[in-house]
Amino acid sequence: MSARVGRGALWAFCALVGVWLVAPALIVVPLSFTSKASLKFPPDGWSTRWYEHFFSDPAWMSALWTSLEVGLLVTVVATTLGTAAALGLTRAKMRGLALVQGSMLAPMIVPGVVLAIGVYAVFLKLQLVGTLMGFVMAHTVLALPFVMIPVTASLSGFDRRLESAAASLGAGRWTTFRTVTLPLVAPGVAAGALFAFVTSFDEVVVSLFIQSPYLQTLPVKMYASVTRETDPTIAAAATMIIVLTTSLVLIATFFVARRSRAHQ
Amino acid sequence: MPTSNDLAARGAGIELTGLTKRYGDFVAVDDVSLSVKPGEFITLLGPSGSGKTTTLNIIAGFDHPTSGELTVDGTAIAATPAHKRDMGMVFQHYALFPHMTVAENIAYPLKQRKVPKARRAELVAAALATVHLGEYGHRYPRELSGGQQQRVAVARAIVYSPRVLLMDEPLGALDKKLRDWLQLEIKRIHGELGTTFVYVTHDQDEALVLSDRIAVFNRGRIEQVGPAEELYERPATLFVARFLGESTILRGDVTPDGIGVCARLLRAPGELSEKAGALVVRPERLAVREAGFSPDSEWNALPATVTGEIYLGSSRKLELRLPDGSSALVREQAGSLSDARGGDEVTLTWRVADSVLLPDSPDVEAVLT
Repeated sequence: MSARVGRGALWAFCALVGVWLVAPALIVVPLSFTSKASLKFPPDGWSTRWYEHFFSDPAWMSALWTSLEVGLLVTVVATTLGTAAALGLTRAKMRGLALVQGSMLAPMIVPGVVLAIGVYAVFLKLQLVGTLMGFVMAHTVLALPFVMIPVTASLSGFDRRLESAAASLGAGRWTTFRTVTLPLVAPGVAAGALFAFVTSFDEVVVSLFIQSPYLQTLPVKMYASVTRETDPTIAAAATMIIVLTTSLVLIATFFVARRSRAHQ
Repeated sequence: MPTSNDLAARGAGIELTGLTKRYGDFVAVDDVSLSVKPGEFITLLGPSGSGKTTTLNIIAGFDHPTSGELTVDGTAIAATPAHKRDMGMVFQHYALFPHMTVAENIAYPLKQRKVPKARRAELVAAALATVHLGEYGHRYPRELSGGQQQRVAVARAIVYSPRVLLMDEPLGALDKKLRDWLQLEIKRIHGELGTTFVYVTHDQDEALVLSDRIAVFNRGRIEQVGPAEELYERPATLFVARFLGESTILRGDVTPDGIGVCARLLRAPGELSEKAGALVVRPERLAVREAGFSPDSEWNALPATVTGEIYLGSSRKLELRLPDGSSALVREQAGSLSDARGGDEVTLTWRVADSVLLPDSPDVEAVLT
């Protein structure tokens, strides 16, 4: 009897936590379909006008393209560098290894605003503020740890004798990496790439500092919009970000699950 | 029909000269010199930590010697990276690529050598036929048993006709029955290909079954190299006598007339410069006679007590205790069993020429146990 009550209470508590975690994201979805020009919840009427506005307003569209462009470039750069770093750091035998590892993971721990000020000061001098290159460089720093962690985890389960075997069969180091190591740690690399993209795509703090009126990412544009206009277009933009990131993660989860089933 | 003829290769000769490998203060391989003939099957035999695997890794190019020389067919290869040595290697834990099918695994070395696709398929089929796995090309390694996986690994290592095949305890992870069968398979493949095989094991039976010659390793050094029969009948050191097969070891002080054991002077088949000696006799060379028996001058005799007997069908083992408390082991063939039983007082005899006199080395037991 008391066990059943306890079980019920546990379920109720878990449901509450679930709602608590998901609700803020879900509020935005009905808001984006409001017919009024205000962020009143719940909406009084329904329409898709804010989506139309989003796709017809050059400022929003340019922010979206900038975000996608930066996000994809960061994915490529951070995944390459992060994978190389993970590979090097799991195999290096040197003094101060922990220090190097720690400093590579630092962007995860250092408060974003501190990092942003530092980046801003240097970028001003190098004239990187408001440039695509500036965004890619800054976001890559932030994304690196999110690539290194899953790739390092994958590498720890990798049997290095396979590399010796490949060498004995005539494969050089680069070929061995391309044909043996990389395919076997691919799930970790893919997870890292995904994290890198998402990290860049929803980054606000550093982006606010290094943006210019001519080059803004989507989150920066949204922030500007909410402080100046309170226009429900922002809810439409937010909904699309949720859909994009959620489907990316779902697709990735699906592929990883299928792959690991195939390898058991 | 593809066969192992497609894969035949002329074996290469390997020459190790003064090979040494140090890790800090630890000497893993200590001044090892060994000459392997083309097409020979040589086994590096020894307990774990004796340097045999390090030596193999140096030949493969996975490890680099601190000093010494390594040549294959007269060409120094110490500076050649592993992937350019053109040797095959079979690992204890198979090391098959899990993301490739069996056929893709076997085709891997051929791709590295840019063998045309059609020829690749022929050679893969020939290699699979050689290891009797013709139907398994499309499977993944995880779908095969351990024995099958190791045969795939062998196929992958011979498909490009390397002139040297290195094997690092390839049967160590398999059960006894499978091991016995695969030993014969490996021997057959060696016969068919003509490749030089260098095989590492700690299993003396495996070494005896497979090898043309055996190099016995102990503490980073080679104690003796030779055909199995020579190592068994004429061990050069007490370690070799103890490690390879069973034996009775009679320790005592060496004099010009023989060796003092159990307060008797036994005749020895030679002389020794060292004072502490050990007379080694294999169990089938020992015979049991009635107490008080005295043989002619070609033979030695010691009184002994039978402490146990083990009947094995084709033979019988007798355990005996000598007056000084040490033990002896006799093996009698069926058809010529003595009537000695447990508890009997008997005379232990052997022909002087059937024993071997070696310097005693007290640390041998410590290495072996």
